[in-house]
Amino acid sequence: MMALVLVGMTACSGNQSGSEGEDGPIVITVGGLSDSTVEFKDGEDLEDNVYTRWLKEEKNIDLQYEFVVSKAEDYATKLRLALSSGSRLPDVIWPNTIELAHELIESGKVKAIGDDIEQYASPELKQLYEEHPEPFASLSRDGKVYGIPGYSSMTGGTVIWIRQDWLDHVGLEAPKTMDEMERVLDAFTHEDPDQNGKDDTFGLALALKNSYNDWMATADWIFGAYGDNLSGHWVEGEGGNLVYGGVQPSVKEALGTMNRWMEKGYIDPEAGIKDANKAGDAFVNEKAGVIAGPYWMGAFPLENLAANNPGANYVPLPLPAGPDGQIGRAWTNKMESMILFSSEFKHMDAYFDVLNEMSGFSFGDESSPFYKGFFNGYDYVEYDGKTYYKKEEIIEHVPEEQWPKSDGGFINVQKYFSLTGDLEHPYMFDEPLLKFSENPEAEPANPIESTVVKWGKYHWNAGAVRISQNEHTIVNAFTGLPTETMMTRSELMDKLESEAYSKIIYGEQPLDYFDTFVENWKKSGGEQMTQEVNAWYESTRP
Amino acid sequence: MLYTSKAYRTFTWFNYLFLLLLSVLCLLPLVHIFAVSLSSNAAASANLVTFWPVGFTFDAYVETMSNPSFFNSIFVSIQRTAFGTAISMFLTVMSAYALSKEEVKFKGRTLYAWFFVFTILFNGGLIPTFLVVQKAGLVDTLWALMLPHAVNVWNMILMLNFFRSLPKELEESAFIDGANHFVTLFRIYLPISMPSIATLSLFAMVFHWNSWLDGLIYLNKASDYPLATFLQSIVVQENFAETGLDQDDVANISERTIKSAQIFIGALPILMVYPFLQKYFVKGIVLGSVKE
Amino acid sequence: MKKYWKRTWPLHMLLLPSVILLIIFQYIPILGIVIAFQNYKPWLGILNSPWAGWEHFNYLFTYPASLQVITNTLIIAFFKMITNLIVPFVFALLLNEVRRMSFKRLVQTMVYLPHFMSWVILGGILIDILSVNGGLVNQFLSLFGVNPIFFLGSPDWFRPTVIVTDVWKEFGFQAIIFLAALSGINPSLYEAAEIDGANRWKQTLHITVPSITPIFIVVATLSLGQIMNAGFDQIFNLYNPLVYSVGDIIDTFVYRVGLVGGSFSFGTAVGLFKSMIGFIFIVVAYRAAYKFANYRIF
Repeated sequence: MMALVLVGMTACSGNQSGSEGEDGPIVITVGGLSDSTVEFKDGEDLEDNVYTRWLKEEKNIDLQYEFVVSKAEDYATKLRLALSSGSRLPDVIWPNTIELAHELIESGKVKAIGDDIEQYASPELKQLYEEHPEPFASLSRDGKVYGIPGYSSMTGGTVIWIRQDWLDHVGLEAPKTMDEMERVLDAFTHEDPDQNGKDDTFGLALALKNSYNDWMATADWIFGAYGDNLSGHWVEGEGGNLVYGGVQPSVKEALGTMNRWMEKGYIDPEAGIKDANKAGDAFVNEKAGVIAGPYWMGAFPLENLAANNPGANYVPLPLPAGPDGQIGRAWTNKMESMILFSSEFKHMDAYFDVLNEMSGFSFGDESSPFYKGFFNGYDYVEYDGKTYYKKEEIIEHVPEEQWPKSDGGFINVQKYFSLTGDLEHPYMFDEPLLKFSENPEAEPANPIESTVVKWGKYHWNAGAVRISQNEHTIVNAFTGLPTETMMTRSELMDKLESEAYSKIIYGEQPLDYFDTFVENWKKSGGEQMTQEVNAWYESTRP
Repeated sequence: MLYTSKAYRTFTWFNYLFLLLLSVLCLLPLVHIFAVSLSSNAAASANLVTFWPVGFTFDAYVETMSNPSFFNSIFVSIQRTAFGTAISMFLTVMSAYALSKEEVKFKGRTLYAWFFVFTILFNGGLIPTFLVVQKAGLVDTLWALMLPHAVNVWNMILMLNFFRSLPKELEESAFIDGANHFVTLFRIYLPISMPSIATLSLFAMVFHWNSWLDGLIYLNKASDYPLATFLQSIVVQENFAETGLDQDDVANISERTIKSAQIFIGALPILMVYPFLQKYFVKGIVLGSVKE
Repeated sequence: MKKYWKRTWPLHMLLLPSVILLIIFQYIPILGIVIAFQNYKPWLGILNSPWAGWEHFNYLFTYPASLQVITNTLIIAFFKMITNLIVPFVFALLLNEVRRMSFKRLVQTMVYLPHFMSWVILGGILIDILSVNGGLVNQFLSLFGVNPIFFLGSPDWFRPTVIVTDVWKEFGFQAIIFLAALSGINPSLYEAAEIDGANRWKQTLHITVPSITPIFIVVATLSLGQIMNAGFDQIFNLYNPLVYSVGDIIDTFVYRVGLVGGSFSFGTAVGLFKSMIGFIFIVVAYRAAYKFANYRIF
C-alpha cells in the first residue's frame, strides 16, 4: 500500500520522479556493450561520461554496469551465465535475439510492463507505439507485453552503387532494367572500363558465403527482380497465407541469371567464399564496377575508394527492374533492439521519465531540453549564440578547445545510452534526406534536418534513391519465435538451400536442380514449418 | 671428417635454402599485418596492401599508443602468463616426479595417472565450470584465469617421461645419503631438468598468452580483459547486418590499420620469449626408451 | 610396510595439490555432463531441468547430415594428425643438421610465428593468397602452366587446402618438442658412430631417430585423443556452401544448430560423444604402445 502511494506521489513530482524518498540515488544496473564504434571524449569512459553525469545530476540515477562486453553474442553469453548461476540480472536487459528474449520471459525473471507503458510513457511515445506496433508481436507472450522496442530509423534497404566513370568509358547509360544491367556487366568485364590496358576487371561484387543478403555486396535485388520472394523471408502468397520466399519459382529465374553471369565472368568468381567485408574489397580496390548495399555505403567503405583514386566517381542507382518491371529488395526489421526489465526492477517510472525526456530530439519537441540534440559539445556544438552541426563549420567558427573531437568531428553519444539505446524512429530521416537531395543549398528547418545535413551529399542522394524504392521492400511477415520445426530442422534446411543455390550459380548442378531442392525442402520439414508459421500468422491477426 | 663429403655438402646447401624458404613462408602473415599497420587507412581498407606499406604512416601506432585499455590488457596478460606459468610448472614438476615412479615402488601411481589423463578429454563444459569458479568466489579475479587450468596434464606427461629417462641411480644414491623424495626432487632432479622445464614453460606460457575465452567468461569488465580476449573482440569481423549499423556509426568503424597495429604489438612479447628460452634448449629433453 | 609408507607418503603429498585442483575444477564440473541427458534450461539449473534421456544423441545419429559431418571430421582430423606429426618431425631432423646456431635460432623463431595468428586473420589472408585472380599461389603455379585452382571453393581441393594450411600454421610450434629432444642427445653417441665410419645419413637413421622415437610415440598417442576435433576455428573461417559436402564438420554443425536452438544440452551431448571416441583411441594407443614398443606413455 505504501509503495503504491509513493508511486502515485512521485509520478507527478517532476525531476525527482524516480526516487524513493530522499535516501539517495536510484541505482539502475545494466550490461554494457562497448564495441569499436563507441567513442568517448578524453577522460570519459562507459561508466563516467556526459550521459551518466546527466542521469546522476538531473534524474538522481546512479547507472551501474554489471558487466561490459564488446559483442552482442558475448552479452547473450553473460545473460545465460547469470541465468544459470541464479545471479542477479541487470535491471535493464538487452537480449540480442528473439529466442533469448523469450528464454528470459519463460524464466520468469523479467516482468510484464504493459501497465507501466500505459502509466508512464508520454503521449508521443504511445502514439509512436501505435503507429509502429509490429515489434510488440515479438515482445509479447500470452497477451502480455514484456518489453519495448528500440526502433530502426529504417534507413536500410539496398541501392546499387556503380562506377560512373567506368560507364562513361564504355559509353553506356545507367542501367534501369536487368537486361541493361547485364549489358553493363558485360562491358565492365570485357571492355577494360578502367582503361589500364589489362583484362583485370569484372562486373559485380557479391558476397555469397554467409547469406544472400549480407550487409553489403548483397544479391537481394537480383532475386527481387523476378518476384517478391527471397531467402529468409516469409511472404504473403495467394490467399493471404505465408509462404517461404526461398523456394518460390521466381527464385529459380534469379538463380538462372546468376548462373549465366557467373559463367560469363560478370560476377566475382570467388563470390561463393567471401563475406561482405571481403567482397566489398573488390569494389573498393577497383576490380568490380557494381556493388549493392545500404545507402550509407557511400561513406563507408566507399569513401576509401575516393581516397585511393580521386578520379573514381561512384553513384547510387535505383535497383534495376526485371523482365516484368518487377523490383524488390530485402526488408529491414523495424525493431532494432529489444529492451526487457528484470522482475526485481522497481523504477519503471524513472525509466520512462528518462525515455520520455530523451525522445525529445526524435519527436522534434521544441520544449524538450534535447530538442537541439543530446549533449552540447558532443553531437552538436553551441558557440556564441549559434548551434553547429557541421564539422567544417565548427573548424571554421569554434575555438579548438570546444570541439567534440580533436579533428572537429562529433561524438555519437547515443552509442552509450545504456538505458534507452539510440532514440531513432522509423523513417524520421526520410523527408530531410529528400529535401537536401533536391536542393543541397536548402536551409535546415530543425535539428533533425541539421543532423541530416551533416551527413553530406552522398547520403542525401543515395538516401533519395533508397526512399524512391521503399515501396518495393519485400516484407518478411514472420517475426515470431522460431517454431518447433525450425528449432530442430532449420539448420538442415538452411544448409540445403545455400548448397543448392551455390551449386546452381556455379554450374555444378543444372538449373532444374532447383526443383529437386524444393522437393527436398518440403520433405525435410518445409511443409510442416509452413503450417506452423501460418498458425502463428493467424494468431497475430486481429 | 665425414661432414665434408660432397653429397653432404650438397645436402647442406639445399637444406639451408629449403629452411630459409620455409621461414619466409611462415613470416608472410606477420609481414602482411605489419605492412597494413604502417599503411594509410584508405589503402588498407581497400585491401591494396600486401607485404609493403602503401601510403606510409605511423598513425595507427600513435592511435594505439594512446589507448590505455590496450596496454592494460597487455599488462593483465603478462601477469596471468607469469604467475599462471609458475603455478602450472610447480604442479607439473611435482606430479610428474611422483608419477614417474613405477607401480612396484609406488602403488596407485597408474590409477593416479589415469585420473589425470581422463581430464584431457572429459570436462563439464562452459556452464558447470563457470558455476564452480563462481562458487569459489574467483569471478573477476586473476585466479579465475590461472587455477582452472593450472594442472596441465599434457605437460605433466612429457615431464614424467623425462624424469623416467633419468638414471635410476640418481634416486638410489640420494636415498642412501638419507634424502627423501622432496629433497631428491628439488635438490637433485630439478637442477638437471632445466632444459625440459624451459621447454614446458614455453608451452605453458603460450597457453596462457593465447587463451581468450576464459577472460570473456570469468571477467565482467572489458577493461580487465587479457590481451587475447581484447584482440578476439576486435578482430572478429563485425557483422553490421546484426548490429544495426547506420549512418551515424560509419565514421567510427575501427580501422584495419589500428587492428593490425594492435595485433602486431600484441604478438611481440611472446615472440621475444622464445629466442630467450632457446639458450636453455642446448641440453634438451632426452627421453630414453624406458622398458619395464 | 611402515618403511614402504614412510618412503612413499611424500609422493602422495606431491600429487595432492594437483589432485585437489583437478577435483575442484575438472571432476566436479564433469558432473554437469548430465545436462547432455536433459533439456537444460539455464534458469532451472542442473538440478531442476527436465530429463531428455538419449534424445540429443538420437538427434545427432538420426540427423540426415550427421554421417557426412562425422565422416568429414574423421578424415580431416586424421590427415591433420598424421601431417602434424610427420612434418614437424622431419623439419626437426633437417634443422638438426644446421650447424650455424644463429641461423638455427632464426629459423626456429620464424616458423613458430604463424601459431600466434588467429584463424580470423589468417582466413582473410588466405583468401587473398589463394585467390584465383592473381593470388600468390596461383601465380606461382601458372609458371608451370597450371590453370588457376579454386582452393577454397572446390570440393576436390578444400580438404587438402585445410590440411596444408593447418600444418603451415602449426608445424613450427609442434616441432619445438622434437627439437628439444634432439638437442638432448648425447654427442658422444655421434662421435662413436663416426669412428665406426657411419656417414651422416646412417647416424640419423641409427642414433637420431631412435632417440626421439619415444617422444614421438607419446605425442602421437596423445594426439589420437583429438581424432574427433578437426579444428573449429579454421573450418569456420574458411568453409562455405560450395564445400559443405567435404568441409562441414561436427563442430561447425553444432554451432549452426546452436544458432537457432541455442541448446547447451545438445552441445554437451555431442561433446561427450567426441570425448568418448577420443578416450577409446587413447586407451587403445596406450595399450598398443606398451604391447608393440614396450613403452608406457604415462
